[in-house]
Amino acid sequence: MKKIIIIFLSILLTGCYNYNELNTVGIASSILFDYQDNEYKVTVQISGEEESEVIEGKGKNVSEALNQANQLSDKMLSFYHLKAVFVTPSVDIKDVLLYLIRNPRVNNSFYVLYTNDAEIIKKNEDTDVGFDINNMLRKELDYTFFDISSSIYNDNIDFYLPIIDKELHIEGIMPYDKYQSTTPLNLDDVNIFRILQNDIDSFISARCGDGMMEVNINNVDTKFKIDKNVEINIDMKVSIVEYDSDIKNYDRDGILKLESIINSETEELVDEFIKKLQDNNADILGINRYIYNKNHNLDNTWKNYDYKINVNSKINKKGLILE
Amino acid sequence: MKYISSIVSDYQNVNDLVTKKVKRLYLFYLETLCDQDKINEYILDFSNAFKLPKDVKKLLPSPNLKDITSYKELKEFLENGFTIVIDGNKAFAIETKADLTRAVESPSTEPTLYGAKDSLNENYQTNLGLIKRRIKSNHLKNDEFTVGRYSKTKVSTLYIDTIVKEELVTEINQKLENIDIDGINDIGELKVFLNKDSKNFFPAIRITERPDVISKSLLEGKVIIIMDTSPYALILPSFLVDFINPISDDYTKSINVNFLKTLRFFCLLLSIITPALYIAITCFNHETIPTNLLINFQAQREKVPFPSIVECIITLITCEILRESDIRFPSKYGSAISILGGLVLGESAVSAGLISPIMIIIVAITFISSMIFSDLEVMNAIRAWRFIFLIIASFFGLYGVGLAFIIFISNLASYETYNKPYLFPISPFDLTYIKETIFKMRNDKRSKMLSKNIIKGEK
Repeated sequence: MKKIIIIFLSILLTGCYNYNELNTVGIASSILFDYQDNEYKVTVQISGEEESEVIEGKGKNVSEALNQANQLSDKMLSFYHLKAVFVTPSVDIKDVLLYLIRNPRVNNSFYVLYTNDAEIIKKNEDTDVGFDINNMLRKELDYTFFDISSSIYNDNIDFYLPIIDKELHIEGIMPYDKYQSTTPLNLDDVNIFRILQNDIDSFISARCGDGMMEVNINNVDTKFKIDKNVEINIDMKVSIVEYDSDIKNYDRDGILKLESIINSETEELVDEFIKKLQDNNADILGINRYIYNKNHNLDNTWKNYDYKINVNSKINKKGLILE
Repeated sequence: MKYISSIVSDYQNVNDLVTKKVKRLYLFYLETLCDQDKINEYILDFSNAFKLPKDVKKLLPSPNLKDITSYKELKEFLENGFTIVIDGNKAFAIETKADLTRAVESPSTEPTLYGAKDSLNENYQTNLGLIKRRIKSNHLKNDEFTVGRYSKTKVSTLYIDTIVKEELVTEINQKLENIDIDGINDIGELKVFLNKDSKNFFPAIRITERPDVISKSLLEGKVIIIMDTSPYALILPSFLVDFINPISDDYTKSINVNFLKTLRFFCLLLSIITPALYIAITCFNHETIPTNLLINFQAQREKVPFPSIVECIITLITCEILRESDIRFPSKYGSAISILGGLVLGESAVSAGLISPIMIIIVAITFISSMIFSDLEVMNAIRAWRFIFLIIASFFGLYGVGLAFIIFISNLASYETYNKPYLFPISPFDLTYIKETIFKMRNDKRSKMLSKNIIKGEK
C-alpha cells in the first residue's frame, strides 16, 4: 500500500511539466531576424491549416525579441517544426546561430537563409513561407542548420547561406569567413559548387564551334588530393541536352573532341570559383580538412596552395548531336 | 431396510422423489433426474415379468450397476440420476439418468473457418467422449473429484501419463481436493481456487469449448479440467502465447499463417499502446510527427472543449459501455445497438464538437486490434493495461509510455503459472515451443518445460 501511495504521489508531483495542449501551441514555420535602431526585430510565421499568422517582436537581443513575440501571440510558440530562418545583412549571424544551437526546443533540420528583404515573410503572408522554402531547398541546395552547426564546431570549414530574393527564389550563396559575410556568389558559381559537392543535378554550358552545348551531369565524383599542390580530380558522366553547334561530330574522335571541350570549360570555371573563394577567404569546400588530414597541421592553409584541376568527362548519352 | 426410513425422513419435502414397491423390492428415484424409459427397461419390465431371484442383480440388465455400501453413497447416487433398489439389507444403484443436456453444437465463442465444428456441452460423459474420440489411448488418464457441499459437482482432471510431468498433476489434484465451498455453477469459478495468488490482469488458465484444442494441449503435456454442467474446459498451465493464436493456425499453410501470427502480436501491442501514444505525441512530444500531420490534428481539435486526455477517456469508456451492452443484450436487438453506437460515437459526437475525428480513428484502431483475441479475460487485461498506459502517458509523454512499457514487460516476466514463467517460450527461450506457438514450423519434439517425454512418438 505504501509503495502505491509513493508511486502515486511521485507521478502527481513530477509529471506534466511539459504538458502543452495542442490547441495552445503555435507551430512556427519560419522566423526572420533583423537588426534596426539598435534592437533585434523578429518576425515569426505560425502555420495553420487554412491561413498562417505573422507576429513581430523586438528586443535588445535575440532571446528578448523572441520572448516578446511569444507574449504577443495567443499561443505558445513551438520551434520544433521550424522550416526556415532568415537573416538580413544587418544581423550579427553569430548571435542568431549560437542562440539556435543552445536552444533545446529547436530542431536542426531547418534552413538558414540570407535575404536583403526584411519584409519577406510579411509580403508572402498568404503562403506558408517555411514550407515553400523547405520544399525548394530540399532538392536544390540541401544545406540545413545541422550542417551549419557542424561547420561552426569545425575550424577547417566555413559555412554559407543560400540567398533568397523577395519572391522566394535562390539568387546565389553567401559564403562566410568565420562569422563574417563575404562577397556573394551567383547562380553559375552555385552550379560549380554543386559539381564540387558531387551533386548530380548540375549542368555545364560550353561554347562549341559557333554555337553552345549544354550537358547534364548524370554522375560526378570529385576527389581532392593534397601533395605539393591541391589536385582536384573530377570524373563526370554527362549527357548532351542542348546542341546548336555546326560541328557535326558523330564518330569517336568527334565525341572525344566534345569531351575535351567540356573538360576545359569545367576546369576554367572551377579555377575561377576557387580564386573567388580564396579572395573571400571562405573555405566552404573544406579544403583545409584534407590538408589537415594529410599533414596533421595547418602551417600552410588552403590559400597558400596552388590548384591543379583535372576534369575527365564521358558523354554517355549523345542525344541531340545525332540527326 | 435401514436406509428406507432415512430416505423418507431426509427427502420429506422433496416432491420429485418417487417411491415404488415392486414385489419385495423398494425403488427410489428423483423423477426430474431420471429417464422413465430406462427405469422401465432396466428394472420394472424385468422385475414385474420374472420371479425375483435371491440375488436380484443377476436379473436386471442394466449396463451400470453399483453396490451401495453407505447411506452417503446412496444419497450421492440418488442425486445423480440413479435409481436406488433396496432388497432387504442390500442396496444397489442402477444408472437411469435422463438426458437433460443439449446436443453437440458448433463452438460459439471460438469459431474457426477450418477445423472441427463440435464443442463441449454440459454433459460430463459427452465431453469425455469427445476428448477420447481424439485420443484413443489407455495413457489418457482422468482423476475424478466431487466439488461443492450442496452441488456435489463432478470435476475431472485429464492428462496423458507418458507425456505430462507428475508434479503438475499432483499439484492440481491437491488444489481441487482442498476446495471447500457450498456449490459451483461453472468451471470458471474453479479458476479462483486454482490460481489463488494471482494479482496479474492477464489470465494464467485458458478456457476452451473446443475438443481439438483440448487434445492438442494434452499432447503438449498440459492438464485439462472438465466439469459436469459446464460446457468449457480449463487448460493448465497456459502462457501468454497460448491466448494469442487460435487452433485454426494448425490447419493452414505455415508460410501464410506465420504472417498472421506476427500480426496478432503486433495487434496486442497496438490495442494497448495506441491511445497512450496519441496523447503523448499531441500533448508532450509534438516534434515526433510530421508538421502537416500535426497541423491537421490541431485543426481537428479546434472546436473540442476538453483536453485530449479527457476526450480519450470519455471515448474509451463509451466504447466499453457499448461493448458490454452488446454482450448482454439479446442478439436479436444486437444490430440496433451497433447502429446506435456507431451513430452516437461517430457522426453525432464529432458534429457536436465533443470529440475530434482523429480520436474516433484512434479508438477504432484500438478496439479493432483487441477484437483479434476471443478470450474475454485477455480483453479485460488489455483494457486494464490500456488505461494504465494512458494515465502514465498523460503525465510524462513518450517517456511515460516507455516507463509503462518497462512496467508491463517486467510484470509479465515476473508472473508465473504453476512455477512456469508466463512469457515462456520467449523468456526463457525455448525453440521447440516457439515452433508450436509463435511461428508455425515443423516440430518433432515436445517442450522440456511441459513434458518429461520430449521426443514425439515414444510411449
